[in-house]
Amino acid sequence: MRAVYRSYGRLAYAVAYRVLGDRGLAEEATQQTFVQAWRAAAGLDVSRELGPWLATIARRVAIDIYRREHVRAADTLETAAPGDPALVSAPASAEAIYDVWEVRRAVSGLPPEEQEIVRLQHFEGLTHAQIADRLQIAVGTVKSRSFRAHQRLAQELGHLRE
Amino acid sequence: MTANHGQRIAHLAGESVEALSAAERAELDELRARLSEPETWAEPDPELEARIVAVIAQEAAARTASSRRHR
Repeated sequence: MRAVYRSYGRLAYAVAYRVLGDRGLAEEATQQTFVQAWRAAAGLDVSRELGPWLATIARRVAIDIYRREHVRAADTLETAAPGDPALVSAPASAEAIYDVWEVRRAVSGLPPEEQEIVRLQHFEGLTHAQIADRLQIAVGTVKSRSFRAHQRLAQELGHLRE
Repeated sequence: MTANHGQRIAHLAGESVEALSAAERAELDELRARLSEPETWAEPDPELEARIVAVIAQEAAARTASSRRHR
């Protein structure tokens, strides 16, 4: 199970985080995902891909936790924090969950130095010049790494046409 | 008008590219949006792996003990 977690733990966590929007609840969902997967492993068809199976479990577990939190929030609506996952939108669709899983998988496959540039650019919203400053490297290096990283992502995710 | 590989990648990487069609732009912008979302980057607690392994080990031990009692 340790090896399975190392391969799929971050992906399951990303799915749970997408549904729940809360780190603690996403960790709870990830734990339940792997426990449920371990319980069901004996009956797993060996020809079935492990990743999509785990993504399905992670989504279902996260939605169960979401519903539990929703009920809890309904009881304490006046005291719930504005960002409470139970107060925001409905759980993500299976299609959205698949996208989350695929993007996370593709990002995880990038070399660390490219992954960091993509994270700084998209998640932190930094320009190439700001990234160069932050990482103490040349702007040209940032640009070439960024281009390579996005090329890999596009190829991996089917966003490139021949 | 259809953009070439380099233009599509450049747009994805955040550069201003005029040659993209609306459909191409929308498709690539969807990926850009995904890359800016927290779930793409959020990391679980490094201790989570050990917690999961411990819970499963505990359950496995309980299962073994239970099957011995039923023999």
